[in-house]
Amino acid sequence: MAYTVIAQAVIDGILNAGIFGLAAVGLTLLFGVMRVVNFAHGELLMVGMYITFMLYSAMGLHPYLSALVVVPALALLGIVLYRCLLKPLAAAPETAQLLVTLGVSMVLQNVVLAVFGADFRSINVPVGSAAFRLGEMVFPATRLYGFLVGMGACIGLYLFLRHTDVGVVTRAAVQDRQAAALSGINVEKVLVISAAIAIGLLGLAAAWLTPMVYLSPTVGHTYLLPSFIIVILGGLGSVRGAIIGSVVYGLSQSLGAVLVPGSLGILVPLIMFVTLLLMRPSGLFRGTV
Amino acid sequence: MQSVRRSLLAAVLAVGLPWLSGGAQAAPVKVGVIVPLSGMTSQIGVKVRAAYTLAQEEINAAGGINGEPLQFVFADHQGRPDVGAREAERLVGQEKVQALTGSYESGVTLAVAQVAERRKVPYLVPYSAANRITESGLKYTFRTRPPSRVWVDAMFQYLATAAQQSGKPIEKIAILSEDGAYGQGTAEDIKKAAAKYNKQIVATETFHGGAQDLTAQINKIRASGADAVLAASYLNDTMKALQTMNILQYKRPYLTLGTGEVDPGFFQLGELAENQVGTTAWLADVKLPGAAELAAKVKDKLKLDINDDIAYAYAVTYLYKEAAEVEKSSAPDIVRKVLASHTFTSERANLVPRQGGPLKFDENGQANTVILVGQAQGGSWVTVWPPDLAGAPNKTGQWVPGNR
Repeated sequence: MAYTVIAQAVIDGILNAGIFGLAAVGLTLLFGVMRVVNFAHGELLMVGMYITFMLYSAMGLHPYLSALVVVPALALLGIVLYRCLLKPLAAAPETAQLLVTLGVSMVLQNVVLAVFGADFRSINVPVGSAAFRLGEMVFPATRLYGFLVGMGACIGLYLFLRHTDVGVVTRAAVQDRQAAALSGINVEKVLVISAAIAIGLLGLAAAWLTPMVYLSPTVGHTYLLPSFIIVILGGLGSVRGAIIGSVVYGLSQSLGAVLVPGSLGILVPLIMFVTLLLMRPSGLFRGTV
Repeated sequence: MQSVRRSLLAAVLAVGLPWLSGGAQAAPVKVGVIVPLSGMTSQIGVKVRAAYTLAQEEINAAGGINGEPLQFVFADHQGRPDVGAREAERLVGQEKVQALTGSYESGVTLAVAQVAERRKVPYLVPYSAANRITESGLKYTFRTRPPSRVWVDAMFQYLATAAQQSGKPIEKIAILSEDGAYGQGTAEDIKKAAAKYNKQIVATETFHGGAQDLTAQINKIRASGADAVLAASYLNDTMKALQTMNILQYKRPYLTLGTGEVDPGFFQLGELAENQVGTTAWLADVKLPGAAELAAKVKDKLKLDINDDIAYAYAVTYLYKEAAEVEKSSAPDIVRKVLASHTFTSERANLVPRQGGPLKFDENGQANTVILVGQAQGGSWVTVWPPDLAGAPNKTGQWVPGNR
């Protein structure tokens, strides 16, 4: 096989990691802070994409600019989700919260299905067909920007958690919620901020994804399974792990598609996942960041 | 009390009278229509039901079939072979239909065909493309839609025309197919046709339907140096493939076996849509007597944009009418004999594109219908091939064959 095909696959894999990372760090943060496995993560991303789509088709707003609306909107949705559904169940067994998020995902999917129908929708902006070239290699503009924004935000979140006061407080709440509360930390505030950040990041992902994919009420599924794999791969609750995990996943996916014949390529990330788990059962990293 | 009694009487009369008067009329010719009215492909089923109903109303307004009204009995197969077979049994056994039509997914069509064979009822198939529907020795199944082999032939013949027109040969072919039965069956047909037309297959790539990323597949196809891509992909996958080819600056003809890519939704691609091509069974501008009129009628009465499924449903209804009128009988065995031997002459039964004269079924029950190549021109799909049916000339602007 030509080395250009493999080199191109490496580029694609790394570029895809940015968006995967955005979805995964939110998931890992929610788990770290609240111990909630959010099954509605994919559907919340899908809702963000439909908002982006609506802003574009109704007002002609460029999808990247629509992040200014979509991110706060989803952050708000995250807070509502936490306050109205997750918080009342905080004392219940973890399965109850898991089932609630599963229910939310079904509701969101069917509401969008009822409003927009099952037809595929897409938006057509110049950036969607633009690309940068380096010799034989092609860097599709949407994927390159998605990578820069996604990785930028993930690393930003990592530095935020690592070096700011709010970050330290958040990590404290993750390590021991009761002890944090006893030492004067407003844990409730930490949880609200975490929910807003985790879901708000999906808004960012939605804005950068919309020009490169087809929207349907089930589009969230395309990203839910990879997000879970990345989060578990990187170590549950670890932001740093999610960033590295998304690169590993992206590369295994794109190289698998090129090196393994037919649709068997889909298996490569899953085999890689199982193998890594056998070697490191708790993921690549431990801890909050 | 009196008023209650009066209204009760009125209700009894309202319910009973139409039934009584209906009994006095000629017994209707009942035909069972098995289409997907729920499930994945329900939107297609709902559209063709409207088309069948339109044809039924017209026929009945003009005196019915042999003086008897035509009555379609609709059943929903949900895209599932077992449901299709069960509904076919019910229609023949309980509803006493004289003939069957419909189905969409090839698997369902085969299941219904088995029932038709056992129950000795003629079954008219206006949709499914799997070759084996008319290659299994079924005596009661008659298909007006061309089999997938004919679709693939159309692709190769069109490419030959396009190569000649552009002066750039198309010798190397890449196959891109989804990994289900449809994609794999089509890939086999493409390989066989490539041998027949002396073309070289340089890449065979598959993907999982609904994939949001085809970069790996298109990259490998690009590296193979293919002059054209022949595909089995659904509308959204087709659009994704074309976008990816565009980003990779790999501009080649891309043709997929008609699964709705010749569809208004395709124009979401914007500028990229212009001059792209696709295979289809019917387009409104096809040079057939009555085609434009039918498209206008569908738009006016059904408020629908006509497509191949609607046109085929409409035409097959008139085909059945003609078959039942030849021997002035809608008895299943007589209609079957007529279908097997008759050359159909009415304009509406011939509203589907054919090769070599009016519509006729061969010994396998396959009609002599052909496939069109449509091209996106100025925001709508027009027929550019075959030349004798084309409504517009073929353009080569969007893709340049063999421009390495």
